[in-house]
Amino acid sequence: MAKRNDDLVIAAILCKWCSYAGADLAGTSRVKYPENVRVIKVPCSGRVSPRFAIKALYEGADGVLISGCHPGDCHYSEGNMRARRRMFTFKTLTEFMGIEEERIQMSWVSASEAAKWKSVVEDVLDTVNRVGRNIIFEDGNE
Amino acid sequence: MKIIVDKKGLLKFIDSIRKKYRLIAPVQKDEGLFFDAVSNTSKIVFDYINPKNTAKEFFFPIKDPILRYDSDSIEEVKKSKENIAIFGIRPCDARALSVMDKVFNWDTKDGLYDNRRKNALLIGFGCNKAGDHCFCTSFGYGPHESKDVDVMVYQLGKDEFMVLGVSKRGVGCVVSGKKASPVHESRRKELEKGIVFKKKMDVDKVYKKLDTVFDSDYWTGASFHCIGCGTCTFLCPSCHCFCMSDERNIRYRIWDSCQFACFTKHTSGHNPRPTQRERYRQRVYHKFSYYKKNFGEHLCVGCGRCTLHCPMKVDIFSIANGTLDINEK
Amino acid sequence: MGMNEEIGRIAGDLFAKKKIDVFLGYCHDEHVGARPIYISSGDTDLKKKIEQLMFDEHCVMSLPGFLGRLRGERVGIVAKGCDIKCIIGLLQEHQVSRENLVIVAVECDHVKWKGEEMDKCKYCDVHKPDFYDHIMKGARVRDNVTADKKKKIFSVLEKYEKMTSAEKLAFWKKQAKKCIRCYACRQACPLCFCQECAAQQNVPKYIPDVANENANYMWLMNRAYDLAGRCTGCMECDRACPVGIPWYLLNRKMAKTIAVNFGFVSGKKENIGKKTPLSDWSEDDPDKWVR
Repeated sequence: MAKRNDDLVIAAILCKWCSYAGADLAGTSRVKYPENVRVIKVPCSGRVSPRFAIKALYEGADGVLISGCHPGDCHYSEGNMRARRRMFTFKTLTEFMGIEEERIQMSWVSASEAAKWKSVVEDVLDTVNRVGRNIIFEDGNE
Repeated sequence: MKIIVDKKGLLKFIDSIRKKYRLIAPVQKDEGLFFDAVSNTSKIVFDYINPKNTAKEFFFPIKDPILRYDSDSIEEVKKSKENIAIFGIRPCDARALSVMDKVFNWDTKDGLYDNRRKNALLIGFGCNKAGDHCFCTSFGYGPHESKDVDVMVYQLGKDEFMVLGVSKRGVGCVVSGKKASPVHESRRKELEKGIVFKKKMDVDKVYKKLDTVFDSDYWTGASFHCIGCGTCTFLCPSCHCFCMSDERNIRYRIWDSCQFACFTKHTSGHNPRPTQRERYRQRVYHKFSYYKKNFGEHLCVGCGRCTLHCPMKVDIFSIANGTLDINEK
Repeated sequence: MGMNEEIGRIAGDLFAKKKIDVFLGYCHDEHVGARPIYISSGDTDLKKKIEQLMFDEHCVMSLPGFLGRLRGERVGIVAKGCDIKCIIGLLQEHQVSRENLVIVAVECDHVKWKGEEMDKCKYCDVHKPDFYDHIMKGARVRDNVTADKKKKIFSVLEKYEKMTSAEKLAFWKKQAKKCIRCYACRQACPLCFCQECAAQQNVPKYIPDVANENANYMWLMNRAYDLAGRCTGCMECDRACPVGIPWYLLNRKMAKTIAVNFGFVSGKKENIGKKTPLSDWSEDDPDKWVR
């Protein structure tokens, strides 16, 4: 495993029906994956307003992951499709305003994909590690 | 002591102030002329009507930390010991500070504001011309008023300035130089007389009239094009409304505006000033009526910034003046 | 009959036939040339106010923003092409009803603010509008911008898109530092009509209200996002801002993203009845970026 900054914090906003269940399955199956993730449960990825992502970065998260059901499988039929379009749009804005693209990511993880959850977390951490700790809001609070 | 200096001498005087004070003066930025901290006196601008911002933000800052707290403790933020000197403050801005002193020492003494006032040296700069929207003379003072500052500077010619100490502290600053003669003083009087004001209001008449026209339909159309942004209140040298905000374990006092829709919104959802009509009317009354009732002088000082920078050119002067034409049956 | 008199004639006619309750137009202003005027059917000096109606290159202030406070009233409104785009946006989002509106369109070559032509006029494709109830023909009005000229509307972004992440952050933080949170941008915008702005929400507070660099950066980002796909480029926010924050750049960037990726451009009359881009989705939306 590559060297990693173990203090990185990833705010993971997971949909209750798929991604949270998948992460929970990883837990009950005793799958070993990095501990840098802080989970926030939402009913659906469509609940996620991009404001959550930038607020998480403002409060010190080094990366944000939004994870939902695979397209076609959303418990509320199309919440994840709305989330996909929203987050894509928001990412172009954050990148335009100077926040590295590595910091906001999205994934589809289903309730049975404990293994995928592990690899998503590891990949997200590797990606965020490329840009390091978030110091965007360290200066400028006076 | 009243002395005469050339531009070089004036800059030398300002540099001498910098030994004891952090200097604030009008400087050119991309977005206009602003009062800002200056380390190089050659950057100071001398040819202007008024900077976009006002002196009030150095006494009543746009964000003022009051308390620091965490889960175990609360402590008051220590009062600043910093001495600042503001050069280039026009009589209107200085008058606004004196006027605001009253509300900041009303039913309770505002230690934060008073402390900064105590630690500041005001170096006024008399006007030799009026802006399109200036109407300070309507309030019983004028463009050469020196009562509200510590040191007063007048520009008598292209390279000739008169500097005089006004307050005790100011007198202590102006200690050496070529003494001014009566000729200089009459030159100053001549310059003041030559200033042409496009706007003049009978503030006493308006003050009396406002008592009778609060419910008039006049207010619906007069300020209709006001969009309710906070520009006028934030660029006003005497507006002082504030709100509180807790952020990152610090409680701040922050600027608020009576023009914001939620300014008077109650927790119940009721809003006694529900539309822009009531909110703009409130501004006119606060400036030209209520403050005088409470403190004996008007809150508006006639600097004209609100109208000059309003994106919709809502003209408080003509709206206040326009009340005199209201004939209610 | 000149344009000024023609507008006055239409307004007088609408009031006489009791077809409107309010007329929004422009009248002369001694300081900046023109400002909005509000004429109500109940005005005692109705005729005098109608005589003040005019239109020239000083009529830069946008009128559709006032429609929100006139809900339920029948309004006649003078509108340039850029204003009509905003009206179309408001119609699309059900903020105004079409039958309560009489759009008196004007052919407009350009408008000025502080003596200079506005940037938006260089890229305008609605000098001669195509959505209205009445149209005032103008003399010496440019043709609507041709297709290849339109590509240039996003050219203003190139310099800012080419910057590195660090340069971009430094640039936008520098802009954010200037902000005094007067919300002139929001108030001037015809499409910022939320009854409670996200910036006012206190619990939870997503956008801190202290006027420091970081909080202002959050405000800039949040507002730009909320206007994505809705902003018509009327530049009122840019004009109203007392400290010169380049809202035009943020808003055009979002417009470009929406146009390129989701094929939607705000302000076209075909949009009325359709969903706004961010309340919709497509199977063809970019997906490769999702793990």
